[in-house]
Amino acid sequence: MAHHDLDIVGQLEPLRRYARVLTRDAEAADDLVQATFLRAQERRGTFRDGADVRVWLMAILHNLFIDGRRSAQASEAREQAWAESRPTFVEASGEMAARLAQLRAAFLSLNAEQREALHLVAVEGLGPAEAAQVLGVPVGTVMSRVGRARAALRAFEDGRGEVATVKPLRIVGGCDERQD
Amino acid sequence: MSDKTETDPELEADLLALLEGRLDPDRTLAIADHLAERPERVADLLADARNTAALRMALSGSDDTAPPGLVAEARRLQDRLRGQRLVRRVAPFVAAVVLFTAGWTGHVAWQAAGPKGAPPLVEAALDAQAALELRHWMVSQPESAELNAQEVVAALGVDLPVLPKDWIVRDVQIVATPDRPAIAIVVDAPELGRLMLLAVARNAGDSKDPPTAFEYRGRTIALFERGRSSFVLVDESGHPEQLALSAERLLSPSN
Repeated sequence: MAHHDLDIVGQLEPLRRYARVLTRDAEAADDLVQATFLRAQERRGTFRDGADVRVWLMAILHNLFIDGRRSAQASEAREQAWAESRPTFVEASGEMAARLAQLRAAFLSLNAEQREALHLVAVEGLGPAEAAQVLGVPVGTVMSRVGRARAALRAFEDGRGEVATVKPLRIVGGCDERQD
Repeated sequence: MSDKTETDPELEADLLALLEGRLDPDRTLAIADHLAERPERVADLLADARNTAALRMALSGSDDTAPPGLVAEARRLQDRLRGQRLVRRVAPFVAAVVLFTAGWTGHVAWQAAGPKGAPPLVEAALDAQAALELRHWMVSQPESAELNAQEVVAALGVDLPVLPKDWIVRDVQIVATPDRPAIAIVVDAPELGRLMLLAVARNAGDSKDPPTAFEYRGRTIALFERGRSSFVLVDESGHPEQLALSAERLLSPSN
């Protein structure tokens, strides 16, 4: 059902948030959202009446990002930007700030497949089937990626250590094809 | 920390829903029983809930307003999608009018009421639509997007209207109807979405029925005749629940 009643303006924040989680760069994220709107205009004939507009837009955004990643140069540039830690998200204030920033860094350093799945399910609150639609993978795959991502974050919180302690978990229970 | 992940995706999906009180009582009891036997999972679950809440906070950027350009794009898309939805709710009717005004002349009074019991031709059109939909998913059954109107006339005795230039033909197939073979054409029409036009030759002695548009089995359907041919237009992209009301309102005599 269309909970959002074709409210596209109201999707701006979730779209920009997901784009930032994908690109890990605020400027690139807004470019991606802009490209998503243009693609959605072209493809609006494919939007089925009654479908969830948020899932439809997230899927377009995701596919555009994956297409863009096929260009190795763009990927390298983005990795560079990420390494330089340009501010991507607004800093929280108060005593929680440092802890949130650490957790966010751990989350953003998860491999892309786990990061995407966890973001859609946990942060955006999509159902497993909706997340599967956005990512273009089976529901079971989404949930196993979410499971691995959660385990990695728990490991980070347990250890409160370097993000590096998270890495060995990448090989648990499956292979990760994409290393972005 | 447990290093193995649960294998039941439904269970995994429900764990956090349980904490957030979003599960119905039956499922809550089932999951709670499941967890009671696995105290280590409860600890993980609390950690997950904590991390989820923290992530939501860490990733929200509420004091960061969207660039005006993005807001404008969002609004433009929103307006177009809403306009498209309005039109689609009566897509076959609109498409039929387009066909009439594009290639055919003459005033036509449309009837909003459907015929008593759908004519066999409408059933045949819906069967054809189901078959074409199936073909669409089958790799070994490629679509044929070439529409040769002259050949259709020669083989089937059907007069095809000239389709508007911006309609894209997706599939053309000969299909069976109770009387004789018909041609089914799947098109993507801008604003209207995906439509199927079924055309079949009429019997010489058939009575001429006024064109009608109606809702049938969750679809809007337009039924009309011209010369020696009968046509059925079926909406493929609309949402069943939303079709009936708007179609009736737009097609009512007072409109």
